[in-house]
Amino acid sequence: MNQPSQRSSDDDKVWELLGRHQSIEPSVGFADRTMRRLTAEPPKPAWSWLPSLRWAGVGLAALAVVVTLGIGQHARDTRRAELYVQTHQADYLDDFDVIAALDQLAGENQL
Amino acid sequence: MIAEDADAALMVRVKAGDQSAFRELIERHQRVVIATIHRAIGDAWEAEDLAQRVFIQIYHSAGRYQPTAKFTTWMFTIVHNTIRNEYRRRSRHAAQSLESAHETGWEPADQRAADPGEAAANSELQARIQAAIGDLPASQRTAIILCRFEGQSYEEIAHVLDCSVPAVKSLLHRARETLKEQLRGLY
Repeated sequence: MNQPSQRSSDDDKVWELLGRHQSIEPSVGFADRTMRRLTAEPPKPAWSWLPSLRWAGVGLAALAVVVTLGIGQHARDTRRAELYVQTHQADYLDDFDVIAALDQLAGENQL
Repeated sequence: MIAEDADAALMVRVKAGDQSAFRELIERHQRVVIATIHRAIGDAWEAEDLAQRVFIQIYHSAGRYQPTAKFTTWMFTIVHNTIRNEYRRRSRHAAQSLESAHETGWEPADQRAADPGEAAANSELQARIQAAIGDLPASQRTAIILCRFEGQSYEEIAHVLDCSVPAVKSLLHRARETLKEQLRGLY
């Protein structure tokens, strides 16, 4: 394990080593070329802000699709539930018919 | 007039559309902008292209500049964001590699070695350091470049990176530890 003094020494050496990294100087005419690039840019039209609405429009369209699908799914689920109730209610009513018939039979058998 | 006041005065004129003031601003800061970008990405040609974009961004964003803020801090924020965007763009186009300045034939500012052997050794040293810096995460990379090479204070770096001073110190510590490992054998 490195002792603290060793770590500090390594830190100093790395710091000194970084100082040997050479960078570059601006090439001749850099400022001129930058100014030319700036003036060569086409002026932004008055409607230049519209593209920024593009993604807002895409988002709204996606939201509309999701909502529409969600509403459709909800409608299907509701209809499915209604059918289920109707079906089971019919069975339930059939049971009442049987019970009512049995009661009649029971009553007829009474002496 | 101290440098900061001069920059603020120039920016006030740039806000008013004074292009001569903008040109003067370029000449005052082109070296540090190009050098910072070059240290981050290693490609000299790309560094100048990105530096131009930085200055053009400064021009178009002049309306948002507040004279109470230090101009170089605001400038380095744009530089940091530009470098970060460039790395993201390159990660989406993985075929492009980050070439070193020496591979593109761009000569460094200080080419003192007359001996070919010494030049080759120096070239490898430069490439190793460049690669190590380039491999750092974006915030660590910017922090180490601004601290080691541009003499920015912790407070100024914190403003550039939109973080606290303790966070800057942490970034620098982690960057140093990584660089120690990456450059082991060279020191």
